[in-house]
Amino acid sequence: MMVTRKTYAQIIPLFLILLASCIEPYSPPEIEAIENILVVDGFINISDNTASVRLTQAAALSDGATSYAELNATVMVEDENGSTFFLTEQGDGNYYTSGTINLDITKKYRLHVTTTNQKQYFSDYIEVKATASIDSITWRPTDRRDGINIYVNSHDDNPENIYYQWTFQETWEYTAGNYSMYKLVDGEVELNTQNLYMCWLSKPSTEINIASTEHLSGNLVRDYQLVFIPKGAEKISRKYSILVEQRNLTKEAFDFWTQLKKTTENLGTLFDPLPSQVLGNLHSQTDSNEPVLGYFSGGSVSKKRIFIEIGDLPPDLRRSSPPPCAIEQIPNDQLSGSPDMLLIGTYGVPVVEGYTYSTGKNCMDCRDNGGVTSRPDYWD
Amino acid sequence: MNIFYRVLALFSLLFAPMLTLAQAPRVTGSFNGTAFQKFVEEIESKTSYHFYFNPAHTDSLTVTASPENQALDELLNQVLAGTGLHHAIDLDHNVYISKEREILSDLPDDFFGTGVSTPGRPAIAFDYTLYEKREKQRKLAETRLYSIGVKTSNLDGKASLAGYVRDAASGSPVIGAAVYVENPMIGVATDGFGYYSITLPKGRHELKIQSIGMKSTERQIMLYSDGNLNIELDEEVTPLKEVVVQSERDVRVRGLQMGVEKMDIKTMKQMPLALGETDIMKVVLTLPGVQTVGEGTVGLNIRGGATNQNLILFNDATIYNPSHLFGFFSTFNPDVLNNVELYKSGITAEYGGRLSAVLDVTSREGNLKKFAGSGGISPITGRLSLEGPIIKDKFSFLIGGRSTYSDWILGKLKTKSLQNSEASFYDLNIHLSYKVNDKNNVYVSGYMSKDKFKLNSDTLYNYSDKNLSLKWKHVFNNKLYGVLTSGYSNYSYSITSDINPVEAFNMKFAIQQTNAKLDLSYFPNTKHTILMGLGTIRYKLSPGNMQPFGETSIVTPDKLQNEQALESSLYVGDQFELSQKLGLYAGIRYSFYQFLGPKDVYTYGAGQPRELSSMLDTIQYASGKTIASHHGPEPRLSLRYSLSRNASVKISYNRMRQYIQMLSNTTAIAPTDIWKLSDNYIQPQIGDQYSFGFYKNLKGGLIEFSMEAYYKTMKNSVDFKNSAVLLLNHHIETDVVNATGNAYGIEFLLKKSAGKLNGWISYTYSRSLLKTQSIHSSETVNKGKYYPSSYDKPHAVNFIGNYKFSRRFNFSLNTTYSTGRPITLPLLKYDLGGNPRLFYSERNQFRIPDYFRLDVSINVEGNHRIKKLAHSSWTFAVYNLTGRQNAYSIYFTSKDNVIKGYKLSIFGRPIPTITYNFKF
Repeated sequence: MMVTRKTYAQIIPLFLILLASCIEPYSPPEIEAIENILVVDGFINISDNTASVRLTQAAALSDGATSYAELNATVMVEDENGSTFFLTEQGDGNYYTSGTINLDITKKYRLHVTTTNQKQYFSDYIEVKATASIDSITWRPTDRRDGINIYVNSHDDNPENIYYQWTFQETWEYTAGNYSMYKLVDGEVELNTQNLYMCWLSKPSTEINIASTEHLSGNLVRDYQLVFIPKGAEKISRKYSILVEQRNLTKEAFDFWTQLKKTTENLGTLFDPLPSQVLGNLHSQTDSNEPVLGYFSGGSVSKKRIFIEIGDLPPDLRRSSPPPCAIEQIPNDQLSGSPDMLLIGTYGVPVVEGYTYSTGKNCMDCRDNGGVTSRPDYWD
Repeated sequence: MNIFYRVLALFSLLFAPMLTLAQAPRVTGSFNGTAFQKFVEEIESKTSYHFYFNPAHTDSLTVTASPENQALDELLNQVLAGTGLHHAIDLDHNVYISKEREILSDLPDDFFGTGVSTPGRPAIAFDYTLYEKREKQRKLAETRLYSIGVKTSNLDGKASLAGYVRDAASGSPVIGAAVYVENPMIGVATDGFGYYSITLPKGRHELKIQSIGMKSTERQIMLYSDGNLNIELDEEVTPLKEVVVQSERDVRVRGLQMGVEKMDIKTMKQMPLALGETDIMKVVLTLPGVQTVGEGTVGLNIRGGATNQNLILFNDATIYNPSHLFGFFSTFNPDVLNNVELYKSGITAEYGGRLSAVLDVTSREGNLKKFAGSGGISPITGRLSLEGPIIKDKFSFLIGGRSTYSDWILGKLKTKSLQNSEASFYDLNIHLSYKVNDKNNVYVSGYMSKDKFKLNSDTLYNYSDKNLSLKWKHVFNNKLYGVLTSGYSNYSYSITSDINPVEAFNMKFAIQQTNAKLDLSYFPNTKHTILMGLGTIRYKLSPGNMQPFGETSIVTPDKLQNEQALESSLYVGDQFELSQKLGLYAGIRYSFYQFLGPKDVYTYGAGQPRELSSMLDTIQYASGKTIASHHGPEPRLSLRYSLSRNASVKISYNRMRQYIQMLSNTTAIAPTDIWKLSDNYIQPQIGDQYSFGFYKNLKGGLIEFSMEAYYKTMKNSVDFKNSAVLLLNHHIETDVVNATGNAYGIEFLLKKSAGKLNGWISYTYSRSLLKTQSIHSSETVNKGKYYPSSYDKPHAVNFIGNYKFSRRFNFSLNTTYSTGRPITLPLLKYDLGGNPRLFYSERNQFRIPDYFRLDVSINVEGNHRIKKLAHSSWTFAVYNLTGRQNAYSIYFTSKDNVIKGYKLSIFGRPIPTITYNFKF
């Protein structure tokens, strides 16, 4: 048998194929305005026997505001036996119970809203869930050592309570780039007696944090990640605190938040789910086809706060130096013509020739970054 | 000069046998340093020999010999020894002196097929190059008259001729070759085995054989009775790769089929590519009526059907996930492919099981004659394939493998979710074909692939495909052959997440399919071709199995019950040429389906929507017990009426039933999509398609025009409630809704298949709409109104052009335009818990921007000398030349208190590639 060998080789792209995917901002086409849609964000809190409801109207995407307050509605919480508690508006669409009300965890409640145009809205009857306390809030450096993760750990002895939701408030202490000792007022240099060096900034959580232990053999949550703080961030430049609130959800509420998360947060992959309308547990009595947004739920809230100081961090994750501030000088003879401003210090030895200042953001006034100069009362 | 002698020689050859045999005179004489010219004169004067030679070859030759009654042949052997000259003497006493090559003065044994061969003559060793040799064999075969069957003087009636058409170089079958005679016009095409069977009036015929990429040939036959003739075709020696557009020119007009597109690998290798590798799924996308939801996905939406409504067959095994690497590659390794057939309508009765279309992919057979290899390297993949005979001309193998060898490309991806990720795949193909004897052939083909990827470095996805098919072809007689096929397909995936050791899990999905079928092809006479068969498929589906991963995990094992079912079918179809003008295909398929236990089935309150709240009871079915059964006929009809030799109209109707569906709530096919068997709640899908076509050839078939219009209805399509949960859902029936759909469209195609400028342009208008039907509002989408499906893209234009500047320079251009696909956009934003959220429109009420892309490629060939060390070519291609940022998706997210809209493009700038090919 004659054997000949034939080789056919193909050396494909010598030139690098760079996958050229890109993401750019997109403005949707002008969508004609649709009728006002009521949004209800309500919670009855059996920890302190209060109820709060925020009523708004959804806004067009192009609107500057996220929503418009729905004012002067009649809002009440009703129990199965017909007892009602009225909520009164206290500005900007926020409705609260006055004082404490007598809530019973064994009862089911619903929300009843009547808007000024006489439309009636009801929620489904909801179960009020008791929430277990948070076991711990922990943190540790990431495996890649590019920052730290903060986790929540919890469990509930009641095997029914398997849906958890967390919201939190982060607060951190930070400083301006320089201490401003003086200030220029009407061309005169004065001592700056106001603290503008150290600030505290608070931010609420912006993502939906929920977990279910449905698929676990024990009703416990281990290391649910709440926050990632990158190395060198201002948040952990001095001292940081997080206050976590935990709520137990009903299955329906959990499904609602899951859908909302899917359709508004986890998008932009190659395999996105089809976004869809997410409706909660509220309905219009007047028109069953009218969509009502938001959710009404109830239960107790458990809270836990922790602090992290920069000294607690491993050395490689500490902020090495604050962002640089360019220092400029203003000679004495130009002070009188200058507008009011903060000054850092003096220059010229032994005779003071003038003052130094910086125009960089957060270089003399920590409020530039959004914080306040009053120390929170829980800060120690 | 040489030519002159050759012509002379040939001329004399033709007449030689007609002369009577004369006694060869013998030679006596004495030559001592005699010039050859003188020697010749002397012999010519003494004998009846006559010499033909080129004096230039012999001017320095002298003869020294003293023959005594010697045979001239013997004498010349002495005289010409060592001179490089040869001689030949024919029966007419002509003597030819030639340089380097001997002239054949005799015809081969039994040249005229008289059964009488001249004994005693030794075979002459030729020194032709392979090419010349083959050319010669071809010419001989073409001029020879083949007697078929038992000789008889009775030439009344008809007889059938059957055999294989093979590639002379590799021995592999030539599929779709036209075998025909012109008077009367009778023709057939070879099947998937290269087999043909043609019934002709007895007597003398000139049988013509044509196939794309192969040299046309013909055979002179004398048909006495039924017999066999195997035919070998030579590859067309055009080193330039030509765009050969689909099959033979006349098939569109004259064939009975409509809505069929055939492409061979040579055609596909022409198209400009994005990732340096020919991808058949991407090539199929350039055909009218084929759409996709976005580039980078392999799902095909054919004539308004969903991606899971296509039956994708690879050597008769069903492929469940035709994608690799997020869909950037298809599962088909171009090195081992032979051709692809896409059936969009007029699907014949032998196919069934999916609603929309059939994509039949076949691999090559290994080279029967010699070993060969091929391969390729790109930054993403490497490929290698080997083939050759195990027993020459009888048993061959073909093995192909492909793998990614680096993950670096992912680092280049700008998609945030793909950074810090890994992805790799490999696949293996094996194909064995064994020609046991003329009546029996056995084929084995196997396929295996594995994909692995990790997104955001926390969840590892694995999926794999395994297929095996065994085929035995038996020829009973010229008019009947049968193929027994058994196959096994296994598709499975697993998801492993271990970011949190306490919740680490592994989730598995698997589908297994075992099938057996028998297909018979019967050719009773020229007017009928009958195909019939029966088959059965056993499905076993493991819809989800979640297990804890690692020792610290406290995940509860959760396993959905397996599903099993049996799908059986019977079919018969007849292709009937009623008259020269009228052809009819009538077929029927009957399918039976049983959904079998063991399984627990939930029941729901009568007249209530299927929801958890309406769940009543659980019924336990024992193993093998029928839970639900469905069955029904699937008629298939098509009719052709020839308006003239160059124009025809066709109509067709087909009904399809589908018993297995993919559940996916993503727009693109995702590796985590699950399949679901029809059961007592999910009814089998039923689709009807009516189509009409008009076909015309212009300029003698150089330009083809076709128009096809279709209307399709689909029943029991599966769609989902908003917020459906598909994974690990123990009662999936509560999350799906029953949809009906209809799709309609019209496709125009104008094609020039030869000449310096060739290519095609197509325009398609199509719509695809769905509607959910239920009396319960919770089971409807968009309030029960018709809404466009996610792949409804009304306008599509494709242009593929190829211009050959010279034998060495070739320019190709590919342009695609289509309407953007429907999407659901947010209408409003609202505030919930201090963060902005979105309120979306009803499903699919908006569209992403229109899609447009222009690709070019230039192919430069090396020189065309046939004998040289290596043949090389360069291809310079630019994918998406205009750099248009075509939207893959539009999405909105709420992050850090702000809502932002984004447009994601996959190939958002021009992608140049340079390919170097060589062959030796």
